[in-house]
Amino acid sequence: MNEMVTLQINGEGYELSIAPKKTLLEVLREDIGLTGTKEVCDMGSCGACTVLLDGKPILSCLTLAVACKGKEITTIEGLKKGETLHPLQSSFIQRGAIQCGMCTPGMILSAKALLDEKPHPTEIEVRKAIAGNLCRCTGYVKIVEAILAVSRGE
Amino acid sequence: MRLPDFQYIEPKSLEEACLFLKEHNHESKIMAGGTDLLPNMKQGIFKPKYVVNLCAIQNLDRFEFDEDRGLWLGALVRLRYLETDPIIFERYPMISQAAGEVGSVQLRQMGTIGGNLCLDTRCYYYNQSDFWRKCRPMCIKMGGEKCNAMGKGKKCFAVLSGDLAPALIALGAKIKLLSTRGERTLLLSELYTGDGAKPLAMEPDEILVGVEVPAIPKEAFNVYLKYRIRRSIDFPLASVAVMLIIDRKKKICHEAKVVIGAVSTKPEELKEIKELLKGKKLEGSLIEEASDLAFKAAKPIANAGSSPSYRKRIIKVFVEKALKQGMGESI
Amino acid sequence: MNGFSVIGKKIPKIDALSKVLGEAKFATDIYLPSMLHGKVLRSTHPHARILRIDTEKAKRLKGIKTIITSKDVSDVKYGALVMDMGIFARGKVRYIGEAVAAVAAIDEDTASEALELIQVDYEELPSVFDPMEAMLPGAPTLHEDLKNYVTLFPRTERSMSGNVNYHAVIHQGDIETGISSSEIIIEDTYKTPKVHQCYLEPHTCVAAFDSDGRVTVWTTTQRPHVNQAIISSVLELPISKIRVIPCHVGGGFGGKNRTLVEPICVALTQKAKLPVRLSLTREEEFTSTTTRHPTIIKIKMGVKRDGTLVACQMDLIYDAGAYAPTPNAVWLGAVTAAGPYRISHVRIETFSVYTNKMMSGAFRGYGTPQVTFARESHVDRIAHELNMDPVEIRLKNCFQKGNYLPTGQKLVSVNIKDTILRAAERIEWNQAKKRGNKAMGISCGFTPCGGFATSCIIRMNQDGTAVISSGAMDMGQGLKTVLAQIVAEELGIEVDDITVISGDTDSTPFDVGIFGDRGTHTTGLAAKMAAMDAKTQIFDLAAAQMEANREDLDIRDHKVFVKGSSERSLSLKDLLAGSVYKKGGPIIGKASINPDTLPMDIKIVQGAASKFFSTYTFATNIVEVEMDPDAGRLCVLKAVGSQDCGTLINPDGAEGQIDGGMAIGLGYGLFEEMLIKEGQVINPNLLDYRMPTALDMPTLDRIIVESYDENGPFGAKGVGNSSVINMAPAIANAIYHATRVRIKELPITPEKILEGLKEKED
Repeated sequence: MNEMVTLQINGEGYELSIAPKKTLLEVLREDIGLTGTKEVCDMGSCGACTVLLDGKPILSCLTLAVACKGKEITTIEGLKKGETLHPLQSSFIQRGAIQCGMCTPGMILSAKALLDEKPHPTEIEVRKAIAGNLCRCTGYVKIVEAILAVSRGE
Repeated sequence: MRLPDFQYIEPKSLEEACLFLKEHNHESKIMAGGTDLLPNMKQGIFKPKYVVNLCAIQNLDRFEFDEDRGLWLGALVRLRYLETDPIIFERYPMISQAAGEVGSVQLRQMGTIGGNLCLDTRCYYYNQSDFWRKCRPMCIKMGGEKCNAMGKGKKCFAVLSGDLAPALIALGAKIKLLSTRGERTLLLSELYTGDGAKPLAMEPDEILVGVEVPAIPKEAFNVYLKYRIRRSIDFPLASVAVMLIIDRKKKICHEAKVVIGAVSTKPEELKEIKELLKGKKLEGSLIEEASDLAFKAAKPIANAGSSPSYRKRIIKVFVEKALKQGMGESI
Repeated sequence: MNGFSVIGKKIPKIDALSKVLGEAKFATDIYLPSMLHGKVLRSTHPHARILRIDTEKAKRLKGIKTIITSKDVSDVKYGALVMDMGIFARGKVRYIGEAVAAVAAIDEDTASEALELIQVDYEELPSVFDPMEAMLPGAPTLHEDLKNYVTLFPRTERSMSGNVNYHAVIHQGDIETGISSSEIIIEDTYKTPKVHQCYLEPHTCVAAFDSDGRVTVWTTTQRPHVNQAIISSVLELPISKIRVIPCHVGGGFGGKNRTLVEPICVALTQKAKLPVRLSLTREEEFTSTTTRHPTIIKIKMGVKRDGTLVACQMDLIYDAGAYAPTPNAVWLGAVTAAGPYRISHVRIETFSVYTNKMMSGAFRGYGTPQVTFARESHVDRIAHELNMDPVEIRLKNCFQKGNYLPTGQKLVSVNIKDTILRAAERIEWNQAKKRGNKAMGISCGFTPCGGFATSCIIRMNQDGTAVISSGAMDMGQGLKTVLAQIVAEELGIEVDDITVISGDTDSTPFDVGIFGDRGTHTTGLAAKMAAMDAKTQIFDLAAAQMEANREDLDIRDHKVFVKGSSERSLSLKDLLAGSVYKKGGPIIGKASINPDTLPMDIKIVQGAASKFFSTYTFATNIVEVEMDPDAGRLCVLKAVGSQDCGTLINPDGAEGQIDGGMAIGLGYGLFEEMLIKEGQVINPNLLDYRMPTALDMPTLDRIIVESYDENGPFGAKGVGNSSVINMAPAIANAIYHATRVRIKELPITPEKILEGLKEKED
């Protein structure tokens, strides 16, 4: 049986009728059309579906959408402010941290959660913060560099 | 993989939750963080009619610390909180170590202490999809006749892979369980049955509401060591929690609690080590003897990563390392 | 930088913006109105006869739109060199996970439910999982009709018989003489596991027919044009009726170089008459796609006391799994097996053998990571036996320009020596003897690069901008940006002036697929030649208008000018506008190439699966590890990757490839292994199949060693493959230096090290 739920996503309210079994990931991608959040393992082991729930990084593939009532959800589509990219988005582009792009949205959101909590992390803190986000292309080198560059205000 | 259909229940109070579970105990699954339940449901291991999410119950994430009484951790306290809280870090470092080693930041943000203690046991031959499990005869945990990991036998060896349980057992933690029949308090060690197929000594209508961790002397030493293959995401393949009350100057051990985890169906407190070390001077040969006892006690089988013999070995190495650390040796 | 204006510059990838915004559409992001969801019923047996498939119950399920089995599709067999695959298992299944039937339903749940309702009766057959056993007489046979399969390589006596689907021999010099003239002979056997590419984006295909009977296929692939051709042949549709749109590809690494889901999806769409989406679960990725071949490698090397390598004999057994459409990996393993060394007497024999497991295929390095692990471990052993520095023995024997491969092919650009010297210098090798529990290890290797058919079209717009159409795919490695840089350099314009259309079969010409480091090298060459073609036409126009000789013209900064007198110039924009409005159409540059290579000497080579690649790239890696002797655990502290890349086109892109290559190499060395019990993968997920996380990576240091490859565009080569191959052997060699334990089987686990330590004690 579907439930009526209002979800607050990237500052906008969405009123939806959804089955309780639907994960937040499925609702974002299929019901709302926000396909920037990626489905990779669907079992909580890769971090590609990371979104922010009240500013904290969570896995949308293991989160029931009905349980997100009243919480602020931030996806990769919500990072740009007007025409201005989030500093992490610019830094990932400028420092070559993008390859295939499947880990990118989750990676940027994990990094954002870190920098919001701790603006000047050490390299090991950066690595810990993204250690739940698998990447097969980059060896994480340029990703870590891009995050540290933002923390240094570059 | 999609979740099977279920009805979603979000009780607003413990009373409401207990009443619901009284009516629907065998048809329900309790959910806290969801990080263990939902993958299992996606794989078709559980198909409950009701998922009872505790998230809306007030005060279930309460955290209290008192010098004399110790800690109270509500069932919904997040692992990320345990990892980062300064009081825990200072007074019970092994709790923040154990919590900080669980999964990834995201899983720790979602996962709760209650959920971690109630983790289902795991096995290569059990935590698989319906399709996968169809390729073999049903295993004991799924209601079949034979253990697929051993290829024989009537016993289920699925592993209890929680990180928090060994640490909290070493600290002498108790848990509170609530149902319409009332509240009962168990030693955390009593929660674990040792039966891989039914690992928890909880009734299906009982809710774990929180954990009491007794106060420990300021000079007590405690440490949690986890073996896993990667430095993130992985469950433990072997773990050791050690709590020592020790006179550092004289190196006399007043009390030693050693709990091993992730090598069998439950975390095991090694009482023989406790007896061996009590009142003795902690030194090389005694540590060796204690770690040999741990080696003998660990009996993993080939149902998770790494090899059983290596997991046994690492238990010995960790016990030795932890006791030396406790003695104040820098490792 | 040689006066280049765009080549060699750090230019951000041209698709990066859409990726950071979450706007880039991958095949998994395509949702069409009234789209159905497909699911595949897969074999639960490693080897069994299919007696009956009963779909009646499933057909009656509400919401189910169509069910197909092998009866509903043609029995055309397909493959690249061995035509042994069908869309579905026909008659029998040969591995757990093989496609038996497929359904399309209104949603995923209904499709899954329908699978439960399909009843398949099997008669179990004896299985064989070990390739050595599979080669024995009397072993269960996977393909009874093997001899009659169509193949596109010269067969030897052993190939296509029993369970051997491919066999080749390379024999240079005389191995008997080589062995008998050696002063020290060392022999051993090495093993490597089955590992998965683990591209993050799962195989996904969405297909829809229009009212004219034309199908559009959105998919994730490294080879859209070959996909189109295979869909055409197996579903008997003309190529003109198929459009493949490859979307953004969420990682390939070789794993998206097969055609697995598209024919099923198109067949479902055809029958259901509605669009269908078919997306594999991660479990299906681990049970029903392709992997790197597991291998068993026997090696015997003979050497003089001064360290000269004299003889190398290797027997390679590649475990192909149940189907082996592309034995190229097995051939390339043989070509590169003896390493980047001058050895007078070489004999390599290689076999590809069927077993009842998921099929093996391409994964970065394509056959070479396995032989590199075996050989480099062995060369290290020899160095120790001779009491010689492992760097020195490699320097002494390594290829130089003008040397020949054991196959008789002359090497065009070689700089293995520089990669060794610079890596050793960077990591301070001379001071790097064992220190406490720390030690270093080195490995050298090379991989084939470039070749095979590709084409490119460049259309010059009237405003001075250009559109490149290339059938080649960018899987994230940055090929689109590289093509744009090459064309911008050639035409004197900026990367921003260029749009690259990659892979869409409606708007791009044929390319055979991106594999074997042929992106930059070969498709880049086609782009450069197309740009040169356009430039010739531009100069023809300009020469007439400027009353100059076209030989005297040059192009830069959006201007065509007379060399030496830059005031005599015309703007490119005016010239191109003139072409469009006065001559009636734009300037279109084009090129279709299939780079030639030297012919093979059949006295040396029997059974070559493909012609040689255009060139080869060389690499050296050195790692430093620290051991915990109590527990056999190790920590890789740092890794240097010293990499030949010809002329550097885009530093960010090249560095990213090298970093990623080292990460994949580290995973191969330490963690990754598909655990298979009775033919069933027991770790088919990203939790129990462990690829490295950000915390598992050591400090990576890359050194780009530039050279000039006369066959590559502006002298460039690829960097994708040779960056992968050396990490595992370098780690194994470092462990040996630290502990004197020689690991002969990947992955290198603490338990193997500990066992080795115990054996040494005993």
